[in-house]
Amino acid sequence: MGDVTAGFLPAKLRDDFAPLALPDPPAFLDNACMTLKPRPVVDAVRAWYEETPVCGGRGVYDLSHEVARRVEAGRAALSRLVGAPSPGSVVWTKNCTEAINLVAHAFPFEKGDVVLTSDREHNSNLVPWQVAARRRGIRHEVLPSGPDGSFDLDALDRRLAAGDVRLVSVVHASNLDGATLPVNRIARLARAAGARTLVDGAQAAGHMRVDVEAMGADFYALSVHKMYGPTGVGALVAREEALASLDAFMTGGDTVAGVTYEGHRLLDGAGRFEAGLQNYASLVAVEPTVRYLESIGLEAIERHERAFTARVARALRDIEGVATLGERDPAKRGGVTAFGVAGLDPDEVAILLADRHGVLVRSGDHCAHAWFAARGVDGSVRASAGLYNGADDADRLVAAVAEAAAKGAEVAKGRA
Amino acid sequence: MDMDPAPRYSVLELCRNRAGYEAVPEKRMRLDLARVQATLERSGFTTLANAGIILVAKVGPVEMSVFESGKILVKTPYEDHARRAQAEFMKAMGWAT
Repeated sequence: MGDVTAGFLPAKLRDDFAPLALPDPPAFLDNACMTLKPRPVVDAVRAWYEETPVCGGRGVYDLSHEVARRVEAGRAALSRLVGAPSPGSVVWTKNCTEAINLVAHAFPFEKGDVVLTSDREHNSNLVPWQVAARRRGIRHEVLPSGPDGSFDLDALDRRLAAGDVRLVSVVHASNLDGATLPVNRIARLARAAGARTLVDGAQAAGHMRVDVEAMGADFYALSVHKMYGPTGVGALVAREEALASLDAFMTGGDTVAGVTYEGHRLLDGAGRFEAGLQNYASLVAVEPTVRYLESIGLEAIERHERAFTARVARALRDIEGVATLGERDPAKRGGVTAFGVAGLDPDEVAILLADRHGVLVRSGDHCAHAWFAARGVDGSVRASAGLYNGADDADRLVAAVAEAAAKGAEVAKGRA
Repeated sequence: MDMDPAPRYSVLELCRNRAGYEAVPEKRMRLDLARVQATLERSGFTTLANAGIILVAKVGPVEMSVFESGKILVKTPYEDHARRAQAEFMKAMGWAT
């Protein structure tokens, strides 16, 4: 790595990630799926298993108190990191998908209410609304992108004017091409029209400065395992009145203030939605995750990812047979670069990159099948950078793609 | 070719609208694709392209891509078609058990 002059983070950060310290480490570029975990996070998970492998907040003994203390420290830290209204506005889920489903199931919809999404949503912010339409009688509408492929604020404004939209649910940074939506303006327009806003922050949290309060979103969903944290942890961050408006989702142990054979009284606040024993091994590692990110700085991480993307974009432009997909402007697509190679299937490209160059990317529809189907595009190759991918990884990716492109031209002739 | 005499494969479905299947050898191997091409052609496969690091062939209506690592991509939305094509490949390579 070593290139700190063009916005890249220092190479020594790589030492914090065990898989990158092995001989001949890969260029891991599938961070949009899951990031690698720094040692403090791994240590915290291991410590739970070795030192405090018990329930948090249930027993009266010290081990239980210690787990509860660490879990709540994680809640407070995550709240601070994303500008949540308060630690109590952070509901633990197992991932971003569950957080969105929580809203889809528990939001106080009335029959005929409209939920608007963009046309570049992950299946996790599309299928729950299709299911809610079938089960709850809401209407789900997709707002098409503008002619340049970006989010169309004017179209949103016009659609909101009808007065039947109850919720606008949009992605913050797209997993398919990294495009970042103007969520602050979207939330402002929605609020002015009396609608609430849910933002899918799976690709944004931990990769850029997020301030949910300043954004004005009512709900913000995220996955901690996409932000260098432990696997199996997500969160729904909600404004107090928005959280209070939600009905029960999953219920049972830990969600109730009192129960008789005849009925129950649900807890107020986040606890109402955290049913049953939690993923304590991972939850105790949230606070170290946040401390790690803060030690680097979210602005520095965002700058690093954009530097990576810019370097890759410049080089890919010169390779014949390679075309980038989605958002054209690399400055608007965070750490994600989506592309295709003429003559080769995206999966073929991904296998060649991994097998021959140790460059680990993702291929396929990236759980955004609808976007690809609507455009008649058969998937893409996606390289998504993390804070440990330096200029050397960018150059390794480009060299591998150049080889694939050359071979793709040969294959195309045979397939013609 | 440096390979197990009868390598075992696991089959994975790809995340696509137009589905396909990836067959992955459970142990590392390295194939000489020129020799694989000749072997497959003797068993009735049609070669579409051999770019040295990727071999594209057809068995019946099904297209498959073979890589030096022994991985195979089978382009069909049907798992039974994919498994049949993989079985044809294994048989042609002399790996059928």
